[in-house]
Amino acid sequence: MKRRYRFAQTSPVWRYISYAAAGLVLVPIIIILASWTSPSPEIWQHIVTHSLARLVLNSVILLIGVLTGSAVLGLGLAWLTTQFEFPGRAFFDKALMLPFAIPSYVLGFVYAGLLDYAGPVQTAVRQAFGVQTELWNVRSMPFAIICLTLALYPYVYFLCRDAFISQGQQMIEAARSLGQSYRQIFWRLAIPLATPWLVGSLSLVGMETLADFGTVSIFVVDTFTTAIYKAWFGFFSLQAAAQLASLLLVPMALLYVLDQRMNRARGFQTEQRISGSSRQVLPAFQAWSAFLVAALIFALGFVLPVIQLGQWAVDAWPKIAVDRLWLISVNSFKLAFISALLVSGLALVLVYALRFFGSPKLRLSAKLATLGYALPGSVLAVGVYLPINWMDQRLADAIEWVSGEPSRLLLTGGMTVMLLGMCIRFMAVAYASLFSAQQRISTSLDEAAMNFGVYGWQQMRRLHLPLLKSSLLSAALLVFVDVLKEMPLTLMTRPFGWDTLSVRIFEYTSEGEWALAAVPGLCLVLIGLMPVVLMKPKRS
Amino acid sequence: MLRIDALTHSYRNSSEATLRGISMQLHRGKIACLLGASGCGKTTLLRCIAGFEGVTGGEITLNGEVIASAQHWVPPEKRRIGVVFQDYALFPHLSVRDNVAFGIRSMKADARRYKVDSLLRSVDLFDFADRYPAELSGGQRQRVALARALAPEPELLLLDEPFSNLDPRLRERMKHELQQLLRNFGVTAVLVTHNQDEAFDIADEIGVMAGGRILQWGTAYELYHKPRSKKVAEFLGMSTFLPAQVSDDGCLHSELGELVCKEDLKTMAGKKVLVLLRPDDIVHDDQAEPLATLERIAFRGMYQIYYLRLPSGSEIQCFTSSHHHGHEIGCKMGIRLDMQHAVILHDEEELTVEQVDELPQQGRINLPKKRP
Repeated sequence: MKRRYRFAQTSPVWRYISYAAAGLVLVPIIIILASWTSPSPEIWQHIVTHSLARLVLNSVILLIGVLTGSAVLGLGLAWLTTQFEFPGRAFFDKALMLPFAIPSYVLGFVYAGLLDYAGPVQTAVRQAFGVQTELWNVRSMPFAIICLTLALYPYVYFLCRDAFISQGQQMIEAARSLGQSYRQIFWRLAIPLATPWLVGSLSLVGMETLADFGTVSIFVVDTFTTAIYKAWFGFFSLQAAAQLASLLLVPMALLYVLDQRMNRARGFQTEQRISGSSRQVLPAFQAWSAFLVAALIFALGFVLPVIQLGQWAVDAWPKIAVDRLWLISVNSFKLAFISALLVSGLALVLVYALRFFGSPKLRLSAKLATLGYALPGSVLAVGVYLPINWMDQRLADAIEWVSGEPSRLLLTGGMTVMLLGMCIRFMAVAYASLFSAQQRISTSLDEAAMNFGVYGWQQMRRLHLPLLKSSLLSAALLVFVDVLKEMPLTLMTRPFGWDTLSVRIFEYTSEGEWALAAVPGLCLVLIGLMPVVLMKPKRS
Repeated sequence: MLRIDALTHSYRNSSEATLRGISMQLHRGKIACLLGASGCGKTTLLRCIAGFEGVTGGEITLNGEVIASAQHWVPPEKRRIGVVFQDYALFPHLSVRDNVAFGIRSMKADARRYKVDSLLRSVDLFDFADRYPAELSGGQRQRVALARALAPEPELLLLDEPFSNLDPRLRERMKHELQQLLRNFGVTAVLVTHNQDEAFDIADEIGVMAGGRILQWGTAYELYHKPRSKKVAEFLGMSTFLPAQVSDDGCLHSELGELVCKEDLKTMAGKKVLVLLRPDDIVHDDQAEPLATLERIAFRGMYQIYYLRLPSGSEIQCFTSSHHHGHEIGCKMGIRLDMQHAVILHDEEELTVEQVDELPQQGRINLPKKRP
C-alpha cells in the first residue's frame, strides 16, 4: 500500500530512465555478439590464419604477467605499510597510491623513450662498455608487462590495504597473541581474509589489462584491442572488428562475474583503524630494506616518469604549437565535462530510482546499466558505432524521402557515438560512489519528508541533492578524469580531425615522438592527480 | 480520539503476521505508551498508525475518520499525525529553524516565522535557531524533532523510542521535560519503548505488547498490581510465583502461612494455585521466624535486593534499604508479607488470573508469626 503510494507520488520517469540506461548497455553487447550472423569470411580467414593464435597467446602472457606483478606488488606493499613501522611509512602509505594518476600508456611511452636504442639508458650503457649492438628491444612483451604492472598495481594495493585495515586487524592481533609469526599470519590468515579484496582487485586489473590499447601499441604487442583497431581502420571491416571484439567479451565476462562475486563476499566492513602501537617495529636492516623497496616502486611508478615528462615537456615546449595544444585541451575538457555531467546525472537517476521504487526490476536494470566497466573502449567503439551508424542511415533516408534532397549523416560525424560510449564505460564509477553516499542517508529522513507530503523530485531537490552535493561533485570528477584518460574509445569514435590529449599522445607515440607526447602526457598526469589527492582519504 | 480495531499486519514476503488483532482506544490529550521487548511489533504498530506501513485487516480511526484498513489507506501526510523518529531524522543540511519550518511551507512567510519562533521558544531552543543539527546535543536534537513534528499542529503525535539515543543521565531529565511539553501542548501522543520506567513515568495509559498482540492495556498501577496474565506480571518488574493451596474455607495456604481468605475462593477449594509476589510485598522482619536463606545481594545504591530461597526451593526477592547491614550470604532471615491485594494464578494456566482486591479486614493476610 505504502509502496504503491510512493510509486504514485514519484514520477515514473525515474524508472523509465533506469530501464533506458540498461538498454543502452545491452545494445552494443548484442550488436557485437550478432556480428557472427553476418560474417566477412575473407578478412576473418586472414585474421585466423595470420594473427589469431598470436593474439590469444599475447593476451594470455600479458594477463598472467600483469596479474602476477600486481598481486605481488599490491599485496606485498599493502602488508608492509599496514603491519610494520619503517622509515617513511606514513608517507608511502599514501604515496604508493599516486601511480594511479599516471595513465598506463603515459608510463609506457616514458619508459619506451628512456629505454629504447637511442634513449639515455642504452646510450650510457653502450658508452660505458663500448658496445654498439642493441642491448634490449624495448618494444617487447616484458616492458609492456612492467609498465602495465606499475600503472595498475595501485588497484590491488588500495583494496588490500583496505582489507587489512578494516577486516583483519583484530584477528591478526589474536593470532599474534597465539604465538604465530608474521610469516605464518601472512599466509594462513591475511591472505585468506583478504581474498575477496585481492581477487576482486585482480579482476579489475585483468579487465584494465585486456582493455588496454595505448600501452600495448607503444610496445608493439598485438592484442585484441590493437587488432580491433587494425580491422576497422586498416581493413575497414567493422564486421571483423566486431567479431574480434566478441572474442574479447569472453574473458571480460569471466572477470566481471569474478569481480561481482568478490564484491558480494566483502560484505560489511568494520571500521577499525590500526593504531600506531599495533604495528610491528622492524629492526634497522629490515626497516631500511622496506624503505628501499617502497621507495623504488614509488620512484619507478611516479617520481621518475613525472620528472622525465617534465624535462621532455620543457624541451619540447618551443616545438609545440600552443594554440593547437589549447584547442585539443578544450576538446578534451569539453568531452570530459559533458560526459561527467551526463554520467553523474544518469547515475543519480539509477541510484534514486532504486531507492524510491526498490523493485527487483530496477535492481536488475541498475546492474545492467553499470556493467560497462567490463567493456573495453575499443569494443564499445565498435558496438556503439554500428547501431548509431545504422540508425543514421535510416534517418538520412527518411529525410531524403521527406525533403527530396539527399541528407548528410547527422549522428555519426558528431560526438554522439563517443558520448554514448563514455556513458556506458564509466557509469559504474559514478554509480558506485553515489550509491554508497546515498546509503549513508537514513531512510527515516525519507519518511520524515513523506510525513510532510514531500515525495519524488521534491524530496530529491529539498533533501537528497543538498546532502549529496559533494559526492556528486566527486563522482563527476572521477568520470571527468577517466574520460580524459580514455584512449581507444576517443580515438576510434571521435569526429574527423577532432583531437584530444589522449589521441594526440597516441599520434606522437606511434611516431616515436616521446618528447612531444610529454606535454599532453603531463597535462593528463596533473589532472589525474586531482581525484587521487582529493578522494583517497574518503574513508570517513 | 485514536481508535484501533482488530488490526492485523504482515510484511511483504512473509507469512508470519507481525500484528495479530490489535485493539485500543486513546482519548484526546492522553499519552499512551506501547511497551514491549524488541520484535514484539510495537514499532510496526506505530508505523501503521503513521501510514508508513499498510495494514492487512482491521482498521485505524482518528477522530472518527478511518485512516487505515485493508481497503482504505490515507497517505501519511494527509493523516495529520506527527512523528518523532528514533534517530530524530533531522535534515542535516537545514538549520534548526528550517527543519521546524519544513512541514509548514504552505503557510504565509510571516505566519510561518511566528509559528517557528514560538515553537522554538516553547522547546527552549530559540537561541539555537540558526544552528545545524550536527551542532546540537542529543537532548536538543530531540526537542527540534518534537518542534518539527508539532509545527503542522497534528491531531496525534507518535514517538518512536524517544530516549534510546540519549545517555542515561540526560534520559532522566528529558523524560520529565518531554512529559511537560506534551502536557503543555495538550497533544494526544503514542510513544513506543522497551523501557518500563519510561512508560511508567510518562504515560497515562500503557499497552504491554508481545508477539504482535496487546496483552493488557491500562494504567501503570493496574498493569503492575493487577496483571491479567503471567507474561505481563513477569514483564513488569520483578516477580515470583509462590505455590499455594486453597482450603475449604476459601483461604490460601503457602509455606509462608495463610495468605488470604475470601468467599469467592471457596469454589476453588482444594486447588493448587500460584500467587504473585513482588519484592515490595515482602518485608524483612527480624521479629519473624527465620525461614528464608539469603543467597545473593544485589546492591543498587538506593536500595538493595535480597535474593532469598524458601525451604521448598522457590526463590523470592525482597527490597531493603541500602543501609541495611548485618545479613550475610547463607544466613537465615525472617520475612513477612505486606500485601494490599493478591494476584492468583490458576496452576500452570498462564492466562487465568484471579484478582483478590481490597482485602477485607478479617481476611488480611495472616503474617507468619513466630510459630510456637
